[in-house]
Amino acid sequence: MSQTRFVGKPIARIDALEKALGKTRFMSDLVFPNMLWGKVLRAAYPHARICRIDTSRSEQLPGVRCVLTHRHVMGLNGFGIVKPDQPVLCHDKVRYVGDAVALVAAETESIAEEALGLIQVDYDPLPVVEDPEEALSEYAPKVHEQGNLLLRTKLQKGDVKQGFTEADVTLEQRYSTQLFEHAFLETEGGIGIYDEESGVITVYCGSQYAFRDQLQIARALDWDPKKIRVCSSPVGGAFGAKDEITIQIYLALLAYYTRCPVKIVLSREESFISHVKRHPMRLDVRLGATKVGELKALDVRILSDTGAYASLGGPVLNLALEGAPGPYRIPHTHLLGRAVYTNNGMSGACRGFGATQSCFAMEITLDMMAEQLRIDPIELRLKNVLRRNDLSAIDHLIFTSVGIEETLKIARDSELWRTRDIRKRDFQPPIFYGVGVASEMQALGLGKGIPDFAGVSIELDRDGSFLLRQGCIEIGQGNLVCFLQMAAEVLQCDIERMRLTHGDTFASPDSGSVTASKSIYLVGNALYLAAKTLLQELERFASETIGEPMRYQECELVGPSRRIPLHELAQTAHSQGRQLKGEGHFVHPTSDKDYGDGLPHCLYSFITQVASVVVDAETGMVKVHDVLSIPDCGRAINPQGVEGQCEGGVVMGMSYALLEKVELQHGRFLTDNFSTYTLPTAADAPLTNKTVIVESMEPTNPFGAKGMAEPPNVAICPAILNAIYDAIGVRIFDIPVTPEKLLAEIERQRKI
Amino acid sequence: MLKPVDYLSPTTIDELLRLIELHRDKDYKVLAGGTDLIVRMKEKIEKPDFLIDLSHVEELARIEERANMIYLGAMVTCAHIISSKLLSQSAAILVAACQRLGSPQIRSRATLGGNIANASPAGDTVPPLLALDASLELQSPSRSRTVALESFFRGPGETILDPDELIIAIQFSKPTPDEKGFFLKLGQRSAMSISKISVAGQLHLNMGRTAWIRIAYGAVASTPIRAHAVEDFLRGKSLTPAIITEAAEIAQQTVSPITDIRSTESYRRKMSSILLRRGLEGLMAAAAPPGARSS
Repeated sequence: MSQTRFVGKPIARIDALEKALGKTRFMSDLVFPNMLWGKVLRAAYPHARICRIDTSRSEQLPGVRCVLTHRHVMGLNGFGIVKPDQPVLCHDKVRYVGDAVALVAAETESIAEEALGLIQVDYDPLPVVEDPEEALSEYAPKVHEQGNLLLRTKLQKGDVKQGFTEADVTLEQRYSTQLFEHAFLETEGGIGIYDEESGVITVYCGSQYAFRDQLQIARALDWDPKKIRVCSSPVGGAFGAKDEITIQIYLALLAYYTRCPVKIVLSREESFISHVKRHPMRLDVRLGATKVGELKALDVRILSDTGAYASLGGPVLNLALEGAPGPYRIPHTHLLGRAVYTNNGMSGACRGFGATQSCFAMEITLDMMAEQLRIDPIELRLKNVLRRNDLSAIDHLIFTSVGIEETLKIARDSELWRTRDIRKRDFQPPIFYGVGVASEMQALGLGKGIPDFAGVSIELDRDGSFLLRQGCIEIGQGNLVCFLQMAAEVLQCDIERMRLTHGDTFASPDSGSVTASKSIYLVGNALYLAAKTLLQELERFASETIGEPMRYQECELVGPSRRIPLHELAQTAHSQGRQLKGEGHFVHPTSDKDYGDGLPHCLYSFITQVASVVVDAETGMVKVHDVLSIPDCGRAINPQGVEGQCEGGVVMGMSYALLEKVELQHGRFLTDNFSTYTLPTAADAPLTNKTVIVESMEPTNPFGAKGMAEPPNVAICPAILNAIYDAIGVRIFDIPVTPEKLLAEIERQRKI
Repeated sequence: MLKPVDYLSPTTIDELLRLIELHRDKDYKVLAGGTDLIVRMKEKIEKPDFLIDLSHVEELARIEERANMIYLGAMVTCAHIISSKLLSQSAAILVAACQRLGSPQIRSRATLGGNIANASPAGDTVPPLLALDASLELQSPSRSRTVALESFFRGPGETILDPDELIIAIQFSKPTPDEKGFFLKLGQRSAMSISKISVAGQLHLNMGRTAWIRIAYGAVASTPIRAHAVEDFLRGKSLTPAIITEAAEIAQQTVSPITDIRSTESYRRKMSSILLRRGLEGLMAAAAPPGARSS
């Protein structure tokens, strides 16, 4: 698809105006007649046995409609994407302060809140498991009966021992990352409704995958999934945290028991303590290279603190391991990871999905290697850069597009990189200037062995417009306009001629989860097939009706003697009771290898990011000045959208590097709102934040697209840390690099 | 969720005092801008039955010059201070502190009296007011008194205010044109930030020597503090680089910071030096004749 009319154009998002005007109704905004308010009683301790739950006083409070505990969960009292080890409502034990113990529905929000206070729960507190290392000791208190190890994964290629003997230089370093909050704007909120007559339970609640929510609700309520409707779009931000169930099952239970619409909207504090965070990890990296900069061996060991329940802790660990070697050819690797249960809140999916942590460690190690070998950091990366049809560092064939080399060359030739040493002269002590670079390889899709598909149908409406039925949600990233751009390209019609559904299990086929930067790729493939099928269907119907061979062209059916506008054909079909539609179903390709548990992946996005910083060596303050993001996302369906993802991702990743950290003490949150958990403001954003897009056309997508959402918030973190080193010659190996930490390190290194 | 309260809205100081008298034995709170009180009510730290709102008492919202004194009603907001011509000419350090406080929304609500009465060690308007040697006019139904701002604080959230007493006004001598000052602060981010540390200084240079100087810190002790030891050291001296360095050293000994969620004891102590030095150096650079400034 070289000549395009819609794909590759910066077309305005269809949801932009209503969002800018504040008119968009999110699920938390919905209101129904006779609506009750629901509240959740959270655990009083991070780790405790429940001895007794007494709800009698709460039930007697006037205005209370129901008080529910574990006894009211009709089906499996558990949820979890990979394994359902998180109780819907705890019955014998709580494992983190966000655990739910009881639910209340009442006529007003304040009665519901008062009712929570009247529920009496007797606990027997247990020792809090805080340290993931200690959690693995045989004497450690068990968070779960079967032990505190969630998953251990080992990947290897070649002979790592041999590799290190071939290396002239070996570097070894320990890194650690913090617990990190997604900070989406819309807290978990929505409404459950039970229609007794039809037996349908409807749950309106923003999430990343309505169709999986439907199944998790059905399992917990022992309900026919066909009689559960989930509407989960649009979402006021998620960044991974709404992939897992949040309050959907509570809404369904409360609606079922009260026979009334029940609304829950979490406060920021309740949202903060209950939803998953980005995993804190400890990473030990050992990298060996020859004198000329050939990477020979890599050994990585990761200890991941997954908190109280599994959620996506296993896949996050696995992606951290797969992403650890980065976009480089390394002949000998040994990658070992363990994910461990603790009472430190709960971690799960977060933008980057494990690669955020391992890229941070690997890219700083590479920077140190470049310095040690006296090779330019970009040249070192180029020397080892991964190309299409190479074997990866975990020994699988990369048969999909690889544009990392091009991104590195653009970085190398950029003004920001080339003139970095000249600009240093503009600054005088104690103010220093530095520039750093980092690259990343982000696996897209769910990986080997995990069902990963999208279904789309496109119908011709009676007025000659198209209805595109797809199930992915709009989460703030702007995928809806991209879907329409791709469909418009095939259907040769204006975007205004199309409508689309999103995030409604009763309105469309299942198009998969909006996660792993994958909706554009998968839905794009499926809608291409659907559109092509629909065009054939239109031509066949037109030919039958007219009696001569008709071809579709620009919303007209053209034959040897006649031209029929599409709306006329639609009228004809409608009058005959014919529904003209096309369906498309696409299954994600997979790797030749199978390492289990979703490994490996086969499709990757890449990015190289260059960042400049100004460091005040007396205060330890770091200001990120300029950022250049060079993503390879395959074909950029909407370049403006790609730039938006880059700009936002850069600020999020910058904050991961320098500012944000969830503080816990004995399993309790010291930071539980945006007053104590400090986010960057517009004034903290880089002064310039530019994007240059590399489009390595992906052969397994008809438009050449891959994915975009995650990489810009990943490589930026090590790029900034490398820039700090370039500025003042001090390295920090645990993030965030606060002024306190940096200043202490500056002073420590001067003493040596 | 906020608990419902009875809301009272006096329009004069007399009416205000009568309402306070009337609710003497009740659980009431005086509401100024609400940027601290409402948050504490939401967190259920404060659960008053009555709120007496000061925002309709016009007398409390005035910025005036009275016989070489600057007089600020307790309900003057940060936004009002920032837009005041009188203050930008005569109390630039107070204006600078208000500009760095909170967000535009907070600045349009937050009041000077509220910021002082809240008695946060990190209250941003207090160090400049200490450096301006401000005093407070306090009033209760039974008495009125004037106290030095420096003697107002007892600890975090604690003041000398009687239960039925409130701040009516803040006043200080109008600085002369040859006085100079500085305000510097460090926070976790560039805007909407509670200070990790702040410092304000006001001085009078006479023939190149400090005739007098007042220096005050925020967030480095249990209350905002004056750095008297530094002031005593600098009095009568020329602000040479060596003297400034020595003053900065003394500053470190003067402060008694703690480690909390925003910063550490040792960082705050070091920054008390660095910020003072930068403040004083900035003044000297600005005071140097054209051409003498080293670039």
